[in-house]
Amino acid sequence: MSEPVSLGQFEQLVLTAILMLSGNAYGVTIHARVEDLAKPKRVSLGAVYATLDRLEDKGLIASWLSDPTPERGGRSKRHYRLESSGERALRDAARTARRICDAIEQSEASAWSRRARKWKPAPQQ
Amino acid sequence: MEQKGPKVETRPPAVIDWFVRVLIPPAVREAVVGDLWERYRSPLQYASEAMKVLPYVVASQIRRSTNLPLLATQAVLLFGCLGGFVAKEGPRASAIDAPTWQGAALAATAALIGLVLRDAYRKTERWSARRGVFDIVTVVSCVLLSQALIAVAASPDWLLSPTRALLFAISALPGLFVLRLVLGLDGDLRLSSPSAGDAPSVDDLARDYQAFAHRARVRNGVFVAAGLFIVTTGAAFLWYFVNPPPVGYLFVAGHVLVVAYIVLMGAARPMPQAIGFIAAAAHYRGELDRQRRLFRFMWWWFLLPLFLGIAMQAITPGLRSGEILRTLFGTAAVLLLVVFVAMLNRDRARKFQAKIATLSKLAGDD
Repeated sequence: MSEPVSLGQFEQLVLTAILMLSGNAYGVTIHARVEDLAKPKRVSLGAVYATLDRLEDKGLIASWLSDPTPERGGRSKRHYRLESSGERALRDAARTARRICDAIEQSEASAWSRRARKWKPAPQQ
Repeated sequence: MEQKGPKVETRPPAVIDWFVRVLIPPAVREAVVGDLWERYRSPLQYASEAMKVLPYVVASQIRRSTNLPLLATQAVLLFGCLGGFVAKEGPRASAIDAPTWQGAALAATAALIGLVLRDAYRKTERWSARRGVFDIVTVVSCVLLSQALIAVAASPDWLLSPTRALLFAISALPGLFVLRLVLGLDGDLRLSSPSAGDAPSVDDLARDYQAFAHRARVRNGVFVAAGLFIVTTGAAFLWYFVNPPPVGYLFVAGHVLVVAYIVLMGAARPMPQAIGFIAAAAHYRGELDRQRRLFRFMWWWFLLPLFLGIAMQAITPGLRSGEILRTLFGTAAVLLLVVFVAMLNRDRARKFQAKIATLSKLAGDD
């Protein structure tokens, strides 16, 4: 079995965007979707390109050039899709994030119950 | 009556677009410029977005195209050949004028930046001798630029003397040419098979072997060209230099012998006619192994003067004069160079081994 790939938070956002866009994932649409996911943070288009290159080098996504389109000055789009290793890495990251959420909720709930036990209403005069 | 409103531009002005296209590395130009066109709202927005994207895409291309052991080897080669290890002052000063180590470091850094950017802006991975020549032109231009900057803004002590510049050209440029060109010659190490899943026939193997022999011939041609350059410029240098050291004659004579060996014995031997698949595969494997050994030897041979130079110019004078820092610096440079060259060799040897293993498998040897 292959080593689990560790993903940074921004890489997770980009992989999620590609997953959501399925057949229409290219620079502009991925950037728009990542901005939605990262709100209220602003995301630079250049950071998305750099992350896409890195994910491709890790073998988590694959890319290909589409036919040229007139609205892009006759230039092609570079489309991206998740590889199976990318999907696996994203699911692992999601499971870890869920465990973190659960742990935070649990600790918040126990802190709340401790505070509730300590709290005593003031005697009525 | 038709009303004429202000004309809305849906494409960036040609001049700005031209600048953006020039600045974006060719490998990502098509997709990135297309995306920027799609997001176009005004010339100012287009230009500012392009300038924001540029550092990211250039940095990403640098990361993708940079081979760290090769970069480090080039750094030591440039610094050493620019006289960075030579004593500038005192009784151990070199007979050949050298800049201070700061001057050598600045010139070497300028040349390295030029090479890194050239790799990032390379249009294609395809090998060509022109590419090697442009690499050398880049190095020379960057060193000259660094000299102009030093002359204007820094100490004249940091400048290269004409003799040192000539020595740099003799010692560093052929080494760089060989290092960068030969690493790009991987075409001979991919075994082409007629179609996926089919085992190649003897004819396929013979065709593949011909391509390998051609690549080996080209690679050896690069070695010979670099060797001849060293022999001619080295001889000119010895003639020009008053009382040249005997090691200089040995250096030139050694290169003459190596060039003669490559010309006479370096080529891959032609595959015998009418032999079976197993014999053809064995012949191919034998030649691959021979070329691998020749390649490894040439690698070390072109870098040998650098090792000797560092030992003679940094380690020995440091030991004699009791300068511990100088000795440590020289020793560290030699050790690091050995590690980097070994890493490059190992990477190359792995590719040769992979092909030899493929041939063994096809011939049913395992």
